[in-house]
Amino acid sequence: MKRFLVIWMVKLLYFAGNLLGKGTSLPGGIALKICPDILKRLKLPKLVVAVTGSNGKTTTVEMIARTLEKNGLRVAWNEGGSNQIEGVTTLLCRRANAKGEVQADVCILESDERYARHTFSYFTPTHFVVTNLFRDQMTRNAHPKWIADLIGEAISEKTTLVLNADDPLVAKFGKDRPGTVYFGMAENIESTKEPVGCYQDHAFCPVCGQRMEYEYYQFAGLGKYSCFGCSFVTPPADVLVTDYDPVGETIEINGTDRIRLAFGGRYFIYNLCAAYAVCQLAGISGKQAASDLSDLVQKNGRVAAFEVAGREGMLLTAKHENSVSYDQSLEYVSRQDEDMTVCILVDAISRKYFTGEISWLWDVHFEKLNTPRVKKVLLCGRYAFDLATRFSFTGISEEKIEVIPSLEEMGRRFYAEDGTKLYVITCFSDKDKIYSRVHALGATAK
Amino acid sequence: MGDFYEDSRVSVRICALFPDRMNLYGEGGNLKILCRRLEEMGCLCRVDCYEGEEPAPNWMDYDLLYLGSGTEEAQQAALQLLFDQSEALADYVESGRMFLVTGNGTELLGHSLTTRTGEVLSGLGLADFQVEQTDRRLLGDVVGRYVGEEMPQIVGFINCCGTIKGRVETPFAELSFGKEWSNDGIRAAEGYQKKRLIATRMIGPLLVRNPQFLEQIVFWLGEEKGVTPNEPDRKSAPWEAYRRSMAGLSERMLMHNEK
Repeated sequence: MKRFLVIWMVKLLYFAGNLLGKGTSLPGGIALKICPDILKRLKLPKLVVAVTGSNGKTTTVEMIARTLEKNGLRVAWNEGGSNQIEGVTTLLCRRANAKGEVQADVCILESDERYARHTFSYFTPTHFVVTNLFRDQMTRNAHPKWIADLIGEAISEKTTLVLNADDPLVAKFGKDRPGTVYFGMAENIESTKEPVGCYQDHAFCPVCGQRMEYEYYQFAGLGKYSCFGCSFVTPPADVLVTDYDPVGETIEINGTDRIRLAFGGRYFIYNLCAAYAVCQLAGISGKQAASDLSDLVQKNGRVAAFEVAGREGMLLTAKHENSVSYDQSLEYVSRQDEDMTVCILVDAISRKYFTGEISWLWDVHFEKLNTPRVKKVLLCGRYAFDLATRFSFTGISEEKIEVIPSLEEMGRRFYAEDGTKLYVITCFSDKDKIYSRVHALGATAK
Repeated sequence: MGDFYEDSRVSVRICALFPDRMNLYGEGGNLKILCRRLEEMGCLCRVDCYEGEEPAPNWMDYDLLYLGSGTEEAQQAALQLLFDQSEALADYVESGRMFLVTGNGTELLGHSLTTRTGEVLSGLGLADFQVEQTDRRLLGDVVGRYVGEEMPQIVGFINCCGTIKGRVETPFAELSFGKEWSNDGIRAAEGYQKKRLIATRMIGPLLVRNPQFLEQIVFWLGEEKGVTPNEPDRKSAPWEAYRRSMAGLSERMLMHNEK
């Protein structure tokens, strides 16, 4: 009876919240107060896939859900990105019938990497996808290894893991677990022999702590590694990118299925592999999954065009306190074959209060902007001088750099027509400070 | 006779301890800004790296050793690799040479380190305290007065899981903000100093964020080398960033005190 009432309360609150434009975690939060083990009392479908990791959770979940839906499956997924226990509770109660049966063929649950252990103390997902573990919001998350330990607490022995083989910290979860599904990428035209970037998190074996050897790197410590201390190596991938064509923007999986990349750039590929793997686990053929994944257009584009006084611009969204996400945007910019002005806006690192913690700026590979095509660099926002200090070590000549702490001044500076295209890199949280000063033209697929 | 060598710059030798393992929070920035400042002063700065995979150098060859933050696993590996150097490092500190430690590198300096799993490891024994780590992460901005020379307050951020047990009589700073992240989480004392062993649990680019403290470090190094630092450019980006950081944290302090 209690279960019945709680489910209906969530449905009602969700409906009301929707009308008021409120978030999706509140109904679940109330449900958990009334009935703390409500998640235990629900009957879940046969396939329940949790997705966690530092970067690309939302994208991966969205790709999986849309592909499965396209193939006629009923999918329950946390579309709004509410990925803590409250959001998951809202979702599952909302989709449950009076008997507590979740009315879906598959659940795809984006799970916050720190709180997954709470959610999954009430039920066990059949599959657990870990995309990657990078330095991310260390002011809350401590460090990737700390997060790996917390994720480890969320993983049940009964769950089948779907892991990024090329990320040693992630692949370690599959050690001595037969049946683990791995995805990875073979050496390709963009692989490097030496690590690129500002730090070496993956240089040491997560199992025994000894230095590892890499045959090649993809990016950010992902690649083909082997440890001489304990014989920990990149596990063979079940879903392997056998060919990557950066010009045609396609990949080939397992030598057969070719997928067109919805975004350019290799950072996206691992997410795509994870999605492909899960689609196969849900019974979709590799060929079908490849075809459907090729047609997906991401809604939350990271790259959006704008225009300001006739000047063309592009807004690239990164995440503050996440160097891999910044590196991804910097790589995109550095590959454009046109004269450009690059604006970096860091105005609010935390939405709640001011923090002085800027150590992550030293993890971002801003050196990538040291190219002849970059004519000007505008360092903007409250942290403009912290950026300026960091940039003084990039080798980019001082004449190219302008430090603009004021947002009004930044807006005015955008109007300066000097024949360059304007690229702006900032975080979701600071994005509106750009949009209020330019004319948005909408997201682009590339 | 001295004129003959007048052109040759005074060299400052620095050894970065575990620059790969113990570089979790932007620590690399410290040595970059320190070397730049020393070069501005006319010194020649040479940085060697010690990752524990090669025989330990003669520490006495250096003017400054630097150790930063790492994951708990990296920290334990560093301790293990450095342990047989305890005596040599103690001699180094006793000789009055400079040893700068930031972040949880500080946790290695005491008599013991109790890990999250309850294992008790012997520390380097350079400082008179014990450290206990727990599953609770200590995370937050701090502001404090440097205990020693007069200078504007130090700004920093703590990100560790260890608490220092035992009263530290000679801390690095007395915190005025973020006291809950102090050595013991109760008193204002943060970090540790003995002679020129300067250890703070504040992470990351401490010298980048605190140009006033960078000046103190180069003053001490200069004193050893007979070089007087030139006036720093107080309008430069690090100074401006410091003022803004201080202003932002002062606002939070006011709000905090009003509560």
